[in-house]
Amino acid sequence: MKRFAAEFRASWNLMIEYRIMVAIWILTIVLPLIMLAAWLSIAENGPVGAYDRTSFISYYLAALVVRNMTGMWFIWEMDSELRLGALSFRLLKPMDPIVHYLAYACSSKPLRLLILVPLTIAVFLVVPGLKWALDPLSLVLFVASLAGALMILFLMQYTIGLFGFWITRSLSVNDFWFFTYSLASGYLVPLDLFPPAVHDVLQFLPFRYTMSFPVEILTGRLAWGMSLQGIAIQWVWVVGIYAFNRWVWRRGLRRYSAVGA
Amino acid sequence: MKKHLKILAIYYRAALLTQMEYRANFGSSFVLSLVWPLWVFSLLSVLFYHSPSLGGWTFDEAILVIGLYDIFIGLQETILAPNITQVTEHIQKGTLDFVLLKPANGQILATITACNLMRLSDVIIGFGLIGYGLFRMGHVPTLMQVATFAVMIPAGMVTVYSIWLLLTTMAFWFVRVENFGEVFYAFYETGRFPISIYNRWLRLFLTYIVPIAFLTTFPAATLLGKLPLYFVLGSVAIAGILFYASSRFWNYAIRFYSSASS
Repeated sequence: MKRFAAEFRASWNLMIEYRIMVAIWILTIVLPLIMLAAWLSIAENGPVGAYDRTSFISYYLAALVVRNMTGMWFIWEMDSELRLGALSFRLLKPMDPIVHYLAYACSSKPLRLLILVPLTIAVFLVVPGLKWALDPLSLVLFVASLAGALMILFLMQYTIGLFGFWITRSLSVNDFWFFTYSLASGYLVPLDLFPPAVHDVLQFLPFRYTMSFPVEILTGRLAWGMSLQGIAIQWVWVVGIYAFNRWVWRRGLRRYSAVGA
Repeated sequence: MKKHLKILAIYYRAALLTQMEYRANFGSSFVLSLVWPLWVFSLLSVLFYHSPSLGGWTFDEAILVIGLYDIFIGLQETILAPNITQVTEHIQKGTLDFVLLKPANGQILATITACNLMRLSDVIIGFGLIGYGLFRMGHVPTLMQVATFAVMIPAGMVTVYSIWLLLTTMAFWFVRVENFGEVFYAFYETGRFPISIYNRWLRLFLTYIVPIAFLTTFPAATLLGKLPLYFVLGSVAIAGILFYASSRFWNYAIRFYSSASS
């Protein structure tokens, strides 16, 4: 934990002047906003499924919060460290590199929260009739679901990053991953607006638990019993992906031969 | 003029020869280029699952807009983006001297000589999508519609070039301009869908301030006969004005360039 704290502080300092962040910020906002605009234009002629115009806004605002609080963008850093051999130095430290990357990934979260809170309040003031479940129990469940979502996303991206031991284009794999995630998680389209057959399949994939599930809690669409069950499922995924990740890590390390290693 | 075309031909031939060495990359780049249209395709399918039309556009018509988006992204990544990275680097490091000292137009040398032919795959896919959309509709554009379309794409390209030039030129004062570029990409994203889905203010903004509508929505609309043909004049006028303004701005800004040694 102490190690995590030190790594967290170091990354936080770095991140404040980190340029790519601006780009990421814009992209995370723009894509859902475009989808929201499209839905609003359709919803002019009456509600779409269970959504009217204000509930679309509630949904996408919640999705924006979840995306920013759980999103992972460390794979670019990991990719260059793996290829250029900086990983060798990390291996010399008496600490598994996974701790460094987790701290690095979390370090941008406080700043993001700092920007999100006034933004959310502003939207609530401008748009009348927005509804979120803001009672203490829902909030606790929401924060817990964020933690689970963050861990799933972290382990997914870390595992894809480890593919860099075998292939030079793990970033392209990450592109494919984003393609799936953005469609299957509820980030760009609320899952219950998919045709029923697609919707049923998506319930069984881990992606729902990284986005749609926390959003459902925050927008008050989930009873608390279902929320608890969902959090349990999140951690089953975490353990499963972690086990796979460790297996990939051990195999990959054997292959690792960086410059000078 | 002739001299400059010759120079450009030499630069592009050199780029082609270097990139031919990595032919396998073109294949994988082609596969990746297919992913994003597929992605927008899925998003559109969900939207149209709930409504037969979106802002007055049918599904088949909207496919044309996706195609145009891919064409412009492809052209931009092929002949604009590589130059932007190059010229901002020159300005940051103070090595723009070597470009400006050459006995040819500095703006041409600095801003359109680099190219990345891998991304032509997006352009090919874009045209393919347009063909597919037209085929699904059974619409055969008239000769006039094709002609206006053929004018609007180069005009749109000049528009994009001019906006990029305006943004890049800021580097003479701000040095770090990459973030401006990202902002432009954000507006670009709005071009994936027909402009009529956005609310009135955004529509005005995307037509007159950052003319994304002239890149994707309007060319698609003219090809379908949804817009009066004189829109082509608008797109040429915008391209002309922006090109003139941005070139003037570049020539003005160059005076503020302080190289590494002087």
